[in-house]
Amino acid sequence: MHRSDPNDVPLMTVHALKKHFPVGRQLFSKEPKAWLRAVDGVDLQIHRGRTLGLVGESGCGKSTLGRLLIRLLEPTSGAIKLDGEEISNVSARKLMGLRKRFQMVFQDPMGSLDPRMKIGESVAEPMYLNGIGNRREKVAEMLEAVSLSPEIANRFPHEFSGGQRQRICIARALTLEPDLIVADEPVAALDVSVQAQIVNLFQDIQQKMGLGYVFISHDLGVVRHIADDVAVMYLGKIVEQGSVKEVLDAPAHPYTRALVSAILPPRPTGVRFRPPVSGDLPSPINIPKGCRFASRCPMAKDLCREEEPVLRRVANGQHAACHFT
Amino acid sequence: MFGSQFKIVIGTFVVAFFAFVAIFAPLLAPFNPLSQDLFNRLAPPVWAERGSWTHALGTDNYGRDVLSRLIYGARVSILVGVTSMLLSCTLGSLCGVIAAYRGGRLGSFIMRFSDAHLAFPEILLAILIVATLGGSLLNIVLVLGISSWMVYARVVYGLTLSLKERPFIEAARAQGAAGWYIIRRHILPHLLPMIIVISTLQVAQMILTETALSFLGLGVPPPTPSWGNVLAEGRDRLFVAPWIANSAGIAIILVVWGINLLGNGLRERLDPRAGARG
Repeated sequence: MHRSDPNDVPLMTVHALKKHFPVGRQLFSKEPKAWLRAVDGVDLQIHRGRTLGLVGESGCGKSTLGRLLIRLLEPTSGAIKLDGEEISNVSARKLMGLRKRFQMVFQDPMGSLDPRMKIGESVAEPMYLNGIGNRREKVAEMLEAVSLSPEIANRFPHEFSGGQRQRICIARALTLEPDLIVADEPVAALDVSVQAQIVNLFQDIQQKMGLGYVFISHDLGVVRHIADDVAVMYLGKIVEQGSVKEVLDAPAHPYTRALVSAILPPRPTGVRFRPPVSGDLPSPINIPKGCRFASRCPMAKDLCREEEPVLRRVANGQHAACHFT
Repeated sequence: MFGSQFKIVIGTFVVAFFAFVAIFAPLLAPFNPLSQDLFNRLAPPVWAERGSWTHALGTDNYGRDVLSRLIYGARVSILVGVTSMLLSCTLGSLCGVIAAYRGGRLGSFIMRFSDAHLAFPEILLAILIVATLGGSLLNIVLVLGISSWMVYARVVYGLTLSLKERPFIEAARAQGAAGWYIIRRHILPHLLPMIIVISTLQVAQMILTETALSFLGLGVPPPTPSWGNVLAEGRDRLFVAPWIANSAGIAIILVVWGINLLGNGLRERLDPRAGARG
């Protein structure tokens, strides 16, 4: 089941997913002062054997979205379906059984391994928690799968480099043979040479095990390399999505265009024109009316400040949320 | 200054020595610690003039053998020190972990309660409890145990608050871990070195507080020999018979030093980042 057809039943479907965090507290009132709208109505599809790249700048809600997908955070509203089955409101007991189907790899490989646990214990932990036996063999097998020697099981995390630790984290995520791995900036903390190794490792594993990835990154170069589909997030919403080729080669949304043009070319010759994106991300507590990107968009018109654009089909599988594409 | 190996060996040796003395007190003590010999009051120890090996550390105001009293006293003092430490350690650590991990109202309540308790004088609480329940070994343990849980609670609270935000806790949660499992498996091991260090200091502190309480007549009721009682009785004869208070004092210092050495050695050893292992 490698590289399955994107038209079959998606592994995970997300509809109108929202996560609002309460901010501040009012005296004598249960209502908080304000709501931080980290994820504000997201629709996604994740397919087996395919990688969805989730890109956007810091603070756009991509990590929150990743955590919602694996139910590490409770969504405020919206639906998450795994193989067509609703999982956004299942009981804690049922969730326990679902956990083995989606795992996460975190950004900070130094921090996401317990420094007081031996590598073997850390890698075996998901199996222990899910009551799976024969852990020792499986740990050895998984460590080999990520090109590490099984003998390291008796050592501690501080004895390893960042790349090795990320391999260990990947091995840990794989022990339960999940269908979906959400990788939150898994290579951002690594050296460039090591990044390539880890990205290739992700691809090898996908080819062998046919699982779906959500690859969260702010590095378009890495996303172009690993992802099949891309979703561009801005201020809690997806502003453009489609296949990597479509979105990154012919971006339709002005924000995506700005992101793409910000990639440094391998050979820095000639003058590049880029639409200017100035200023900072507006606060997700005070989301402006109309198009979220209007305050920074070079082509914003009055309409953009009044009416919020919806995702519209612009090419084959490509969708963008802009009035002027 | 010393390697952790050295500290652990020496500390264990000292603690084991006192534990041995406490356990085998009836076999080791040359005299009954309670039997008085009024013709032989304040006999000097063996190193003084007219001293003899019969009473190696001399006798006290009632002619009781000081060495025997110290040997039996080790039982009381160590028992009180260790059990009250265990009580306050369990109570305090549990409160601290729950307050930090659960947070919310329960957490604030526990921590505010500990603040209030910290402001309450220990001796007053001791008088209260002993006055209502009467003086006995068990009550002393209760008093000491209850009166110092806040130390653990505060330290554990702070550490747990920072620990629970660490990425490996989130990673564990993503794997399906929850509540008590995370506390037991990922938080407690990180707290342990700190708890061990505080505990060792506390055992020493408990032994000293027991001494103070006994001195005030709120501790182990005399004539039961505890190091505190021996020290308090020796104080009255400090100029005539300094060996009584001094012997008790040296015993206390030795055991406190040994326990602290052991605690420090263990702390260094339990930290996996601390240099070569094995």
